[in-house]
Amino acid sequence: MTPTLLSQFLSECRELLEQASRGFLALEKTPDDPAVINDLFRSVHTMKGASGLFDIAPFTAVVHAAEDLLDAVRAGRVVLAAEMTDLFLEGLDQIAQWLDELEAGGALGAGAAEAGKALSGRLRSFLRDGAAAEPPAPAAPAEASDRPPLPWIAALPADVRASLTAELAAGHGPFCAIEYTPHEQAFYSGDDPLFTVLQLPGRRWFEAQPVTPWPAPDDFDPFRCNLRFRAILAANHDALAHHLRYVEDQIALADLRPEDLANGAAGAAAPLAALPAELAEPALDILDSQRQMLETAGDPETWPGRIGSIGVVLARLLAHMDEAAADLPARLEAALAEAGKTRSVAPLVEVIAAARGLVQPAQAAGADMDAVATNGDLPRRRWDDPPAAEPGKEARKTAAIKVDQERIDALMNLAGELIVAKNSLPFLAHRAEDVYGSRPMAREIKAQYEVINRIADDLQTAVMQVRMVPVAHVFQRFNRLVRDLARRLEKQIRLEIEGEETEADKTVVEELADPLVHLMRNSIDHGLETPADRRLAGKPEEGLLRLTARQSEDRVIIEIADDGRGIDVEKVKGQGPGARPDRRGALRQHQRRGRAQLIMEAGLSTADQVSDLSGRGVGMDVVRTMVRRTGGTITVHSEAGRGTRVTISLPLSMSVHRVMMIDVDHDVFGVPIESIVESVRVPASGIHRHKSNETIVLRDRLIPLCRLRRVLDLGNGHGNGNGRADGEESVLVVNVGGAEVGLVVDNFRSGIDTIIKPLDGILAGLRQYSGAALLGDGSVLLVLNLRELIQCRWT
Amino acid sequence: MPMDLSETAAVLTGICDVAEAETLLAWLQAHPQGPVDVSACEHAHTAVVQVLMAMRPTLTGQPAGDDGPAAWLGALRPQGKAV
Repeated sequence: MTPTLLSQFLSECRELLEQASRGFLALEKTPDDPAVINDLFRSVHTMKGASGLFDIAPFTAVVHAAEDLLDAVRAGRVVLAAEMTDLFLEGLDQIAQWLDELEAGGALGAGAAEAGKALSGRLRSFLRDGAAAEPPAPAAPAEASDRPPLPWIAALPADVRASLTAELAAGHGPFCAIEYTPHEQAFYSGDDPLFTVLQLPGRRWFEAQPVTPWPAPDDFDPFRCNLRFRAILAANHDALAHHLRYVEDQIALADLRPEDLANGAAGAAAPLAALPAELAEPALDILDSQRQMLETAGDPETWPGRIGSIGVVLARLLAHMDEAAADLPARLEAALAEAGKTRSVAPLVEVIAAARGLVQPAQAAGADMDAVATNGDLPRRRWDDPPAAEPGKEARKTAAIKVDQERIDALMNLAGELIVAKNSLPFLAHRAEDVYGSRPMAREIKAQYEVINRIADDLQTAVMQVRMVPVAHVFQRFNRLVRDLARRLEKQIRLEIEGEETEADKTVVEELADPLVHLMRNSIDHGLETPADRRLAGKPEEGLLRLTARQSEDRVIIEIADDGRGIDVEKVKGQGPGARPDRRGALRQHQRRGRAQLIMEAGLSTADQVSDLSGRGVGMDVVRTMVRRTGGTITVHSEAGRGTRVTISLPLSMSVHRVMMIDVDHDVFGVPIESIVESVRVPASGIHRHKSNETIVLRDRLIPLCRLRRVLDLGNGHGNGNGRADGEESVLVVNVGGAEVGLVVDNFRSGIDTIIKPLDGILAGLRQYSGAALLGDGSVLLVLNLRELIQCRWT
Repeated sequence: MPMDLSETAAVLTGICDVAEAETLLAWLQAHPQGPVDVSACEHAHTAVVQVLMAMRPTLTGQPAGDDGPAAWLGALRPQGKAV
């Protein structure tokens, strides 16, 4: 197996899994929707087909069992029950796990065989139970076995039939007849149906026929399989079934019995029409070519002419047939009139088939007509109908290119480097002026810089667009989560999702998944009450969980709201940091901002009992950490008895940041621009001291000061190095976690667009820096982690 | 290159896989009559066979008898093929 094939398989299967799990949930709501079942069946089927490429028998077995059960559901033989959906979903989970194992090790993990066997056995047990419970089939089995299983056997070419009959009579065999109608999308799953047919053992005869008439050459989609294969093989049923196990749902397989062949012969025993034998063959040729002409698509304008010529040919042919065909000329005329009026080819085709049945000495007219009617062999399409829906073609048109994320990341990095490289041009302009004394040169460089700046910005925007994915990617999985948890906790929950189409950077969306899972679990487990409690509280029994996404300027806002019991603030106060002397400071801080925020603290839970879902008090802390890591904020609003609303605000993209540069003791540091409130210069006299704490009053707000020199332990910890005699201090007012703090720095510098890379290696432990960025002159800019610094200052 | 397309003919050689179907279709749309030389083609993917069946170009180099070396050609016979 080639790595590319495997990776393609993995990504395709994961997509199909998503689709399938959505399908099962949709099916639970609308169990009778055939479109949903068909979609579901298709995705499971495609998985099975693709899995055949690899040596993963347990995988194939499970999807195969699921497919069979689905097929039974589709056919109405088995009624879909909730336990069945549970099992299906369990199967999907197992498959997802196997996919991970495949990706990691190229093979299924230990125990896969047993797990697969158990799962497929349980799936199949539904099939048996369901089948046992069903009422007996309306058609009596004895009757069914009398009918030739494949009607076309009787219509085999005469020579083939003759030799088969002779061989059967001589005791050779067994012979099997198969009809193989590959899926339209078969080529996409790597099938070569013709090759499959040719590989079958003991091939005696085969043919390939279009399933629907070929469309006009311009509309022809070469990758949609429109062929049906029929073959007669000298092999037994089981051997063939084994050969065709991967396509068995597309196969009709029947043992060939002498009477199947004789049926046709019996029909021929009463030849109604007789052309002289030597004329029969050319007559058949003529009839066949007329039929082909009818089936061949063409310009609608030539339709009347074509019908006319077919009419003339048929009329002349019929004139040579005897009285058995006496009614045919009249039928032909009616069919021609009909065809001219409605452009429907069906009546004409029927006339041709009837004539053919009369001519072909060994062919029963009735059998042929039956075959025509039941097989849908001949087109019943109107001439000027648009071609039947061609899903394959649609899919190919709209299909996006799948690109490895690494490649996009590489592109993103290059765009970032371009932005950084571009930043060096202003430095160059300065040098041109200062060192080489050429002002015009400097001006030209700056002009060029503007051009490159614009292109680099556009490039960056374009790459960002590529990385944007709808949050639906993450939201979709919640249907499943809510369903499972609600069933487990015996709560009734309706999930409403809004704004699925809101887009954000792929990384942001992916980072979002885990925190959201925690929040949803909290809402379901703690927030929403049981139906009984809800009734007591005068609320509808069904709890409402609303997940909303929207874009607000350059941020994505995600809201999770429930109409449950809300957060019991008193309980939180009793158990939270307030109960621990070491965290009293944190409590005081929180009291200002609403106690609900307290649930974000680590080690806090209001649940009386720790369940396996949540309540261990780690959830919200994890959420907060993750949200902060992506540069987002999280707020909680809760009203007792009315519900809780958690709002997460995240940056649309995490790649390019604007930072403001500041000087501290001859070193340059970056401060993320979104946390900066303002920059001011305050005279020394404006600084108030209370013990060691310094504060300033700015527009009636009291702002504590934090001397960066001291916190970073740079220089002598005092002085400001700006050489100003008046003792004026440069203060950068920043907002950290809702509180304003003034950073005392030596000097302000300009803002700059950079890509902040996290520190790694031994530097990764330096928590006072959130990352580093490369400046245009090649130097490294350390970006301050304000939250950490300020905690250092005050705790 | 299993498919050699020129102004005058398309020549299929060896094993034509699924990807060739689109190329062949494009060529046949420009040259509806063909001819398509199949004498050296050992196997053609179903998709390729489909194109030939739908476009009905003139085929050259088909083995005269029914027992040609390339079994896939049987699919192109309107009445099927006894082997």
